[in-house]
Amino acid sequence: MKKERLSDAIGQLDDEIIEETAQVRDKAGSKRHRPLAWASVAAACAVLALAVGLKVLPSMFESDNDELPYATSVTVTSDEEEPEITTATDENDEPEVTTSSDEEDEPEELPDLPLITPELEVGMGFEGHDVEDISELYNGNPWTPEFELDTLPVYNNPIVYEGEWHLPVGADYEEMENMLLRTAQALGIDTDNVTVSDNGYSEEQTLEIRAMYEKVSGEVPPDEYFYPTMLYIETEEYRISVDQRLNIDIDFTKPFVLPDGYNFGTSATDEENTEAVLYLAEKYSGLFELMGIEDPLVDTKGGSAGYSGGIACFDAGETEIESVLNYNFNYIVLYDNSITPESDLYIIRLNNFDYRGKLGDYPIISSDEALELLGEGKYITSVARYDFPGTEYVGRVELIYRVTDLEEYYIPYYRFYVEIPEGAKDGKKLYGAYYVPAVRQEYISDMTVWDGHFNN
Amino acid sequence: MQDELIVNMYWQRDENAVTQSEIKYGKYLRKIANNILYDFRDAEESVNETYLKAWNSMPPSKPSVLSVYLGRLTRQFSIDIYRTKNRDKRGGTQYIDSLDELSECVSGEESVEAQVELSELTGALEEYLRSIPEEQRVIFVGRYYFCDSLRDITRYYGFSESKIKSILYRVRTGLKLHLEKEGLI
Repeated sequence: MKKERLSDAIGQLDDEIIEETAQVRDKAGSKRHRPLAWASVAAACAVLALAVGLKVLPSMFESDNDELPYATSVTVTSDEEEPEITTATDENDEPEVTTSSDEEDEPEELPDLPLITPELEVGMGFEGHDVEDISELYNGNPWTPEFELDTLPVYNNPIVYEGEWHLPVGADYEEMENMLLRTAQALGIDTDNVTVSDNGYSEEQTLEIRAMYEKVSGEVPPDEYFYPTMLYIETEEYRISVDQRLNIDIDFTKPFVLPDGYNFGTSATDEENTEAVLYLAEKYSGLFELMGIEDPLVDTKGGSAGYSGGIACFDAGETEIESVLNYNFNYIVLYDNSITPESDLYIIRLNNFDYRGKLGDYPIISSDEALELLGEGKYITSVARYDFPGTEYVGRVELIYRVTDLEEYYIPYYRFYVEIPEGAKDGKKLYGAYYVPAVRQEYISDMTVWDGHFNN
Repeated sequence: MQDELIVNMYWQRDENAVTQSEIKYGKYLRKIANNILYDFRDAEESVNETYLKAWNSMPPSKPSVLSVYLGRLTRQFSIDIYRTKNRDKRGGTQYIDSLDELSECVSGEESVEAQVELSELTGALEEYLRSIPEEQRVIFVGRYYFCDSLRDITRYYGFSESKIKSILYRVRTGLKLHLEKEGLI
């Protein structure tokens, strides 16, 4: 027998066996709930002070020494409540105190904020782009290097997964229903005559599942296992659903065909899509008002999440920060049914971010400083199979938040598109995405997890 | 969106089914395809083939677990693409690494007597996997079905790479003995 034959047999394994592993992989892909490092920092400093005989230590928040987080005085290891304390020591076992060589430099006051750990997203795809020219890699990101941003907010992902059963925690069902009904009203639906349903289990299903688990494993899922993860309303025209992150999907039972003269979708030009979205913004003005989009900007690439086939729209905002936040967190995506020849709208998605989980406004670095860090290898990437070719191959940079279900914190990053000569193929260049946190390094912990490998 | 709803959309010939599948499982499928192909362009091809096959197979198929159904298609398409394009020169793919490890369990020759129905082999494999502890089974399936790297497995199982290697070795050895006992190799 050949090994390929055995591999083929493995490919035919029973669903139950595959699903068992899939669930373990999936749980790992979901974020781990980790206590914030901030609470531990004071304790760690106290322990450290005791360990060195109460010698005066430089505050990690008052130093302008960029090397400090890597030197390191305090790091917080993943999944452990107690911080691991490592001191750079000399022969007398005293901490190495690094001071700025430039005496005129005033120590910079940095605000006390929780340390944050960039979270690897297991399963992130290979983020490389085959293009003939870097100019093809454009989107509607409003940020430019000329933006004068000193701080940017960092948020907690509002939904965390906890416990042995890895169940989502943090859903606000009242707010979910509120958002659902407001969306329905914005579509002109009489909400007094609609039924809000959910995808939770019925009593009968609950009993069946409990019995099955008890029989198979002797364990019974907790009550939370049976809680719904989505609420929805169905009418003749729409199926409107809201998830635990308050994102809304509006599925049209019958697509809305745009009037003659409008061209919309993946086959349309950017100008045509922009024109079509502005038309739709008027037609569905209630939704755009609900999302606070008064001064619409159109992103033909589908917004920061890059939804394939979707055209995004967000509010320009009155400040640079508002514009950045709206682009990354608060936008509408409109989908054309690309299979039909008409320009017809059949899904609207409202990315409605819950800003209540704000950790704080974090001082950020400039894109030039980020470029230096990139050159020093302080990045994460999913194209690590290729050697980093050097900063001279950077084709473009943008500021973005990585907003996925799996991120524990929503942190701003500089995303560098770097040409990888080794990956060129069929006359096209390969540009790989490299991420450098925009938050100052003093607030980043656990850099050791940045091994640059997502897939291998 | 719940799997049942997405499957119903396939049955109702609603093209939205593909979009919803992509939104919910696109990343999961690309991970499988990338593990096998180590080439994102081929991986995209594999995932697209998956959606096409799903569209053409539902109905009559009505999978109870859509992720497993789609993942199985992606795995098979990815292996087909790999074999068709004869990518033996391509290094680094977890599929090839895992295949090499599996060679310890087989003779390496395909004699007429040794030819076994795939279903019979799968049955013996399932019997063996069900007889071993869950952690060993999960790690085996992760490595040889999903073609996850050892590093990936350490992430989702929490063991060190050396422990994962040791477990895989034990499971492969046990599998070989089981297949010999069943007269399949």
